[in-house]
Amino acid sequence: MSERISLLGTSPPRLDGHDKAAGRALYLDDLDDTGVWYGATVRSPHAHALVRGVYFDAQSAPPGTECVTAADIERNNGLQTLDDIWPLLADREVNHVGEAVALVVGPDPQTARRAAAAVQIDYEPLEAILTWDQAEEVEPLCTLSLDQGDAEADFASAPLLVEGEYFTGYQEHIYIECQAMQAHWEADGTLRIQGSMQCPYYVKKAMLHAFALPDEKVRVRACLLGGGFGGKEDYPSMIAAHCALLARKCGHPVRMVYDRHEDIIATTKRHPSRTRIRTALSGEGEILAAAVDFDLDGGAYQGLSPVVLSRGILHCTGPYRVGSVRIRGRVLRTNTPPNGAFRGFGAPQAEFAWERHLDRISRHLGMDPLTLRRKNVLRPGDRLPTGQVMDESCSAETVLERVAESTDFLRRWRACAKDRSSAPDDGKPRRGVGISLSFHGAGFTGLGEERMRSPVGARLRHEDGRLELLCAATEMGQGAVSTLPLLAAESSGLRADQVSMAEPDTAKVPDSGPTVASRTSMIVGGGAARVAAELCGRVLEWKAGSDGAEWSLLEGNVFRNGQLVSPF
Amino acid sequence: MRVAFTLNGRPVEVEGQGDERLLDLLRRHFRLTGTKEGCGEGECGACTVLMDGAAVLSCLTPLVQLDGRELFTVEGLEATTRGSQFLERFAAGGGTQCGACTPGIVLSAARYLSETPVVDRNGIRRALAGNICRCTGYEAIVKAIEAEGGRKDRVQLALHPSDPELTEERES
Ligand code: FES
Ligand code: FES
Repeated sequence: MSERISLLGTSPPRLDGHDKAAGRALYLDDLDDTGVWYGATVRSPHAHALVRGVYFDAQSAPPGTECVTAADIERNNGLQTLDDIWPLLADREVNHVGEAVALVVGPDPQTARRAAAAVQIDYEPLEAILTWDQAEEVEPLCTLSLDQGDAEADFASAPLLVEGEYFTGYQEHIYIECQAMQAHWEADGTLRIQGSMQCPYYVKKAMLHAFALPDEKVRVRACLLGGGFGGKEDYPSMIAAHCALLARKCGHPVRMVYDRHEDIIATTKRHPSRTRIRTALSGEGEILAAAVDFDLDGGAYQGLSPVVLSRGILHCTGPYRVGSVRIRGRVLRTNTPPNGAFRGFGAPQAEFAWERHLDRISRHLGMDPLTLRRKNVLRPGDRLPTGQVMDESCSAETVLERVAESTDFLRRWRACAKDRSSAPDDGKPRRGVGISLSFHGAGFTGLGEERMRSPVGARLRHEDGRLELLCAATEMGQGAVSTLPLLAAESSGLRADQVSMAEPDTAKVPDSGPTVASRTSMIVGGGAARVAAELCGRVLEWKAGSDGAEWSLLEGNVFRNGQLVSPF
Repeated sequence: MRVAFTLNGRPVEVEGQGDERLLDLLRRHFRLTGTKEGCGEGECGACTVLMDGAAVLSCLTPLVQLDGRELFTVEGLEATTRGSQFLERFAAGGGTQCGACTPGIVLSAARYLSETPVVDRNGIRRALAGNICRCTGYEAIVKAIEAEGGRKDRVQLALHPSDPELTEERES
């Protein structure tokens, strides 16, 4: 087997690049739609209201169109994520603007939209929770805390305390391809879903729950995604359920493609945050203790919020050494659309607040922001609030120093500070320059990865002799379909063009976990590398066992007793 | 109403509603799904096609405006030898990630490269001002177009339809 690192660190062209540039790559809405009907969603204009009645005026609706409401749901009217509280269709009460109340279906998108106009909903508006202050008054959706050391004692004895409050707002993913999904019931009762999704097994789980089906009766295939960024982690399950409900009602395959407005109004976004930080400091600027109250606006239903909160909490004090911590996290409930996954998953909000707070501390101490960070940056041997010790390596200091040097930070920072202090107080904008450092845990946190185990399979294809990787990783632009074959080739002695990836179809690939959390190259890629090496190793062993010769594989060629026999 | 125009060099005729979007006509009627919808309201540029040599947004172009025009889509670009080679180089240079913006971007780029003897970064950025890319951060796109501009055999669209290179290669 190859010992040399020959492929990693090189930048071969991505395997799907030319197809994408030429417009040949097929996304869900590019697939042939012969016989496919189109769905549309009727949504609540109220943040909070009772639903008195939903009426479909079949007389005024285009002929043949159908409508589905909560009353038509035979099994579970709940989206299975961590819980199943979030309704597929609102029943009796709507809890946010844009909540789905009814679905309609017609033979083409225009007809479906006309049918939507024939749905009348009778609401009784109620008071809505829309601000942080109002949200404080009701039960939070979830809470989580983290303590390390005796923060109370450290606060009591510290010479200096600095406090601050920080906010971040919504952020929308704006993947260029809007949400798109299609469902179809086969004659034997199998539900088949395909669409733009990061996590085919999440969608499968949600369908099993919503329709109370046995495992083999749901099959989900992820198409190529025109961007995801976390926005196609949870919400695709909702659209899949809607398509499936409509397909069951009308008897045709049903496709739903959101337009940009609907996508922005209805789907999940980054949680707005409010972070209150109190720090205890030594006179030299060492952070002795930190108390952080980290609140996220979860919207109307919990969805993935507890996990977002958890990742935020884990990153609350950034890549710095902090004596003791007392971190309290909450996801507050408001009458706004549920928030969900977005790149960084809670950590950017927490780290933004912490970095701003470090700047506040440096102003208090009359110290420049680089020196304060140098004093506290994580070094090997330091401990995170979780107790994790930086025992292998820790590049935070290297990164900080390199950035400071390459940007000539201190000189520029001092120049700006001087300009500001000598400038007249005329309200005109002034220049500033800042520095910040962040860290991020890739893959599931805690025992998540160990628990999932994320099997990756491999098989040798008879047709063309290629090694095919079997995993549920989806391609959303990040390059999974190019990266994983590279890793498999590197570990096995094959060439990258001798490795391909099976479609992420739950009937064909094992559940190697969701395509989220920057885990695909590291975790699934690690699995791909191991399984490819093992499979090729076994083939060589079997060859050796049959003729006693020494068989090996190097750069895609098979050698017997050191002699080239053939390409793999 | 009935309109006649050329599509990637071929004369076509369509019967339809005057307000039907060119985007839907291309994607649904002609099944040319390379042209993408990103916003449907003229903001993102994913639906860019060339009309009489100018970049236009097919989501804002109604059927009624098409009579007598020459339309050119990413499929037409790929069908020419130089166009296809450009697309391959563009992708190899990291110009595409998820690909949803890419057909629009390469058409804007091909138009610019065809009209501009000496390309420069500012010109490239101006040519792409109507195209949003959510994935790449643009730098790889600009570099790929800059590199293309430095080649003798760079992509060259005859922005006029009677150009032999365009029509001949497309027929093959
Ligand atoms: S779809 Fe036409 S500009 Fe966005
Ligand atoms: S490559 Fe994804 S939007 Fe440009």
